[in-house]
Amino acid sequence: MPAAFFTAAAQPAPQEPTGFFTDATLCIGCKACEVACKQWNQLPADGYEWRGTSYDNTHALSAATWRHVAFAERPCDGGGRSAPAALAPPPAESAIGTELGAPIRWLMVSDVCKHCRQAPCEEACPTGALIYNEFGNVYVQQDICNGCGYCVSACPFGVLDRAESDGRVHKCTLCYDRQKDGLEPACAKACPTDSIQFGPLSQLRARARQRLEQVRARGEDQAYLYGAEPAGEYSSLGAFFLLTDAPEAYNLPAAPRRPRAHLPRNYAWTALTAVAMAAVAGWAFAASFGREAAAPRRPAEAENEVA
Amino acid sequence: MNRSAFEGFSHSTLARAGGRPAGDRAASSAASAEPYYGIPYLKRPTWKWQIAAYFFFGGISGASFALASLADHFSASPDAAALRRAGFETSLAALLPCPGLLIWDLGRPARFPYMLRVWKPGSPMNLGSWILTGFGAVSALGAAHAAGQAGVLGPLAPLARRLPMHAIGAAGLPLALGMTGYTGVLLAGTSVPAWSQSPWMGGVFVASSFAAASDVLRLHLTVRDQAAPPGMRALDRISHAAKAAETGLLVAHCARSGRAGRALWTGRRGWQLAAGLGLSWAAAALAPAPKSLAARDAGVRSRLKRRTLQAGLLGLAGAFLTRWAIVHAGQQAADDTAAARAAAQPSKSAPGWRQQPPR
Repeated sequence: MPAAFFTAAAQPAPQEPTGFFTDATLCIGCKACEVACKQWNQLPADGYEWRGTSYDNTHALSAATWRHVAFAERPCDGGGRSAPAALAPPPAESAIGTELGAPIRWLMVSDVCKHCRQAPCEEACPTGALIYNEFGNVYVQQDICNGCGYCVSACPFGVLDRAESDGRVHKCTLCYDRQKDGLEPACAKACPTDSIQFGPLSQLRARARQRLEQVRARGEDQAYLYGAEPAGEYSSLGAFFLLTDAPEAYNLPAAPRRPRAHLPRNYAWTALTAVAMAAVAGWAFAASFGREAAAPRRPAEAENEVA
Repeated sequence: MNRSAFEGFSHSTLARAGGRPAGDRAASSAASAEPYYGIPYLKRPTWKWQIAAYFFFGGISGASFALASLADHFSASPDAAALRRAGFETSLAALLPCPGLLIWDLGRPARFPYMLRVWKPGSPMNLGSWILTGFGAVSALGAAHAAGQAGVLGPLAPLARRLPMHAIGAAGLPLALGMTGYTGVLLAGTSVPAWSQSPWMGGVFVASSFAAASDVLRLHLTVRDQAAPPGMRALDRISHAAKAAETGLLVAHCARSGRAGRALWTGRRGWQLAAGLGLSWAAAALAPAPKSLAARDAGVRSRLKRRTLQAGLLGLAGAFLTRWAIVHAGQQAADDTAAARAAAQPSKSAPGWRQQPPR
């Protein structure tokens, strides 16, 4: 254990929070972001498999895959817009685009760690390995993480993953190293259509709202921003999206819950049950052993049960 | 491509997603009705049998200590003293495997002390680590006192006997109660559909721990031939109340969870959970009436003793199965895309982003 284990290191001065705006309407599914991310961060392959799910052979984010391009084949009307009941499941054949005639449109989006402004993973982390760095990004300190796995279950997006190889959790760092040198993250740099945009969150949000109006004015009236604002108990996302179909179509949760928001209630109910059980036990002992044997020695001790 | 060919294809390919074994994937491989190929977007909890075992031992340890401390507080009779001693001894014995199990489960076991690097009660796992540390100390003191009274500590026995037992019991009670319940709060504080949808998971673990501890203390007293009716009567009452609370809270949790909690009542985990609760109630039914333990006939007494032992073992098996099923149901639930969708339905407190008007 290093000598300075319990002393706080000097913290870098906070910068303006940065993030990603990923515009699904501009994504062409080239996967340059996946490749650039793997290359810059020197991430190993997750296997080499043809999965038969459109052009998505990556399937999910993992400890070694920090960008994932989703390919959704969705039913639509003749004009190429989302069918009104966009979430009604398509029949199996058309789901993989083999049935000619059924109107299908192809949705693509590059998924990434959402860098939640109040992140369930950071709130769950028992060691403080997960932090918000000076750019407001959610970052795993690899020298601290002990691989307990709590963040893996806490994340409502299924982003965090424990690597078998080293037992630690890895995820998108939002290219912390590049940002420190004033460079944009590798994925945003590589994106040929600017579907992935990087910058200060305030600017990105303003740009996203403009883009949303533009897209809606052009007829994509189902478009919306996913994560640009807080939604009830859930914070806004440091990596937010412009989507044109239901979140589930992109394998995103419709309305993530923030586990921390329910914690006070959970603690309260648990404490209540514990005190009730202790009271029942105390009553059972008093009733069974008989009052006459009860010790008069500590009349005030009953208060301790309620702690 | 015909439908059955597609299904077979998707089954075998999806089975490899994320390197997960095919058998557990079968539930979600009906990809045709899924918005995104039936690929789960949640990650499976990393916790395995070590955590189920820790929940079992840790819960028994905490509740045994609490029962010992309460018995000590409410009575000075020799029967209560026997119960106190059994409780403190059981508490330490059950606590001993706990750190090892927890460390074993870590991805980086050598970094276990980092759990105490920060004080962060907003993280139930961090709070639990502090509770476990503090409780370890009081549990050891309690057991030392019990051992001192039994004279097994040799020259240290007089010292151990002089420990302020009542103060230790009182100070340890909140920690002991915390030990029984924080584990459920820990599970509920995740995004796993089967765990997180009600505030009662912590209560389930509290009640289940008391049920298991009262069963194991009956076992302990019986093995030691100290099973006097008053103590057994108290433990019998506590066991019944705890099992009623456990079953009730679990049913309430399932009812509140709806589709999100399905892994708790279907499939292998559903059977295991039902069997766990069933064994626990079977133990309650099998345990002889406390009054009958005062029987004069030696043959009757030894038969009743055997039945008490059987009941205790059944109760322990039930408590273990219950935790096993709840922990592993989390993995099934994370794979269940419909459960994940049910848990992330827009609600008043979490409306999601799709309905929001553009600004």
